[in-house]
Amino acid sequence: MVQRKLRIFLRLASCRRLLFVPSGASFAILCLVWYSLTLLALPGRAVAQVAAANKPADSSASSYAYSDPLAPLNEKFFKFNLELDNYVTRPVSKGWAKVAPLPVRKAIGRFFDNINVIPRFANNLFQLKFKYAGEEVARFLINTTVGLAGFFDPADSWFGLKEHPQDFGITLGYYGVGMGPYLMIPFFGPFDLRDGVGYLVDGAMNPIDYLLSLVQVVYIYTGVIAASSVNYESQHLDLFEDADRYSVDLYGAVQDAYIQRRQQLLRQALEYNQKKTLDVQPNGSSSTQKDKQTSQRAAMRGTNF
Amino acid sequence: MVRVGLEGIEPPKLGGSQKVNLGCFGWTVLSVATVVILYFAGANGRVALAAPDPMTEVKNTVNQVLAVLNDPAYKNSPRKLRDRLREIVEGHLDFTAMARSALGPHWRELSKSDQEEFVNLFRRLMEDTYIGKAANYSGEKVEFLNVYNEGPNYAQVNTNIIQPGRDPIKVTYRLELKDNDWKVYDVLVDEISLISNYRTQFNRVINRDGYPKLVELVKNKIQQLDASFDSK
Repeated sequence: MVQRKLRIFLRLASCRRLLFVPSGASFAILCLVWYSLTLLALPGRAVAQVAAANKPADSSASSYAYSDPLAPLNEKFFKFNLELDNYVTRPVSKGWAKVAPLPVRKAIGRFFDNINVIPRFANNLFQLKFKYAGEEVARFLINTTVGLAGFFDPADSWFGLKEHPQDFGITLGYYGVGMGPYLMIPFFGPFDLRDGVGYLVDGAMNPIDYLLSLVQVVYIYTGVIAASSVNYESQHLDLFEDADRYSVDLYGAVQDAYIQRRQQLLRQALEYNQKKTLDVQPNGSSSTQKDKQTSQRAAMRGTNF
Repeated sequence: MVRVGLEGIEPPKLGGSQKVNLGCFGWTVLSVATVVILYFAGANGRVALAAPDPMTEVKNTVNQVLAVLNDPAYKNSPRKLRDRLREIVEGHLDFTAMARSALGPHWRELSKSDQEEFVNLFRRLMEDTYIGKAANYSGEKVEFLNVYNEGPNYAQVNTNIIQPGRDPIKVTYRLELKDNDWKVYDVLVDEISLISNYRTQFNRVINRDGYPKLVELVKNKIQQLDASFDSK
């Protein structure tokens, strides 16, 4: 939670350019390949994955801990990120919280959320959630115009169109990719390998990468990420300040909170299919309940070993 | 074991029959209800009416806590507040189950007395951390959403903490029925399980530096938190 939003200053724009050929055509091809892959996916697979996602996360029975082979390095980076938060991000966030009233900061948060529509749209599409993808487009159109460049969210408050959070890390998990080792990235905060790759892919979808020069892109990313992180932290100052209070081992606390949050998002993504198939059945309600109970019991076993 | 109270069969029917002046319908309901109660009371060896319901249990406890937090008598003495809240919460939380779950497989490696010592330490850690935190209370409201029964002995109660001008915080209580009493064994804040979070921390420390180091760290933490009470 603490480090989640420490992604400031730098975006690995140059690395991304090496990884992904910078052209709109290659992105289109990527979409097509992915789409055909998803068509091949067996319908039963997602259901099996719901069960898998409900298992206690990657817990090897012997150590009962997440996979973290890079722990010594990660701990160093974690310390670095903490110092960065202590001496840079938090003082700036505090100042910002004093200058700007809460409604203003919330509106700015909505603005950043709105411009980040492409990964949400694309990944809902990758998971064949056409309704959600369409709703993301509708939300973007409404909020950019009626919502005054996204500072307000009339799509939700007037039309009841909720946001559907998605990213490529969840898409990978959705199709059965495991989360891999835990990573702590300087400036950016916690990731697991799957979500790190997802983060790069989502970044590659941003059209400004291909329209502007590399230097301009780095400047823009730096500004956007720094501003949105500061804006986010300014709304959750108590949480950032108290992190140490709640933990005996802060590194472990952040790691666990991050992984639990990601698993929660993945579980939600997988439950979409369950909902859809159950809606079709005439006595859907009873089996929904049963499924819910089974999955919750499995989830409980996760915590109550 | 069959829990009648959970299905909510007899309490509403009994109440209804008293109100309708016991006409023909009332008598029928009453007698059916009596038979049902007697049946389950017999089958259970215990009066089924006493069987509690997890939602009421959580509601009562949370409301008691809120009453104390709103009481100006405790406003300026965090230590007194903590002790009062400890009294209320005591008996509703299953610290043994929490500590056991938080230690994971290492629990079984401890001797009986070590286990008892750790439960005690864990309880003090929880109390100092979270009850102490309650001193920052500023008029938040609690909304009780719903309850999922997980078989006869497990339940999950969903609540929201409403803060003015901010998004609500989702707080979920997981309860187990033990000795005819619902006890909380895990709390989820925004879907993050507290016990799982402590388990990751504890296991990291134990795997790296061994159990004695964990005890030392927890003791230091408790001391540090206690000191912060004194400074207030």
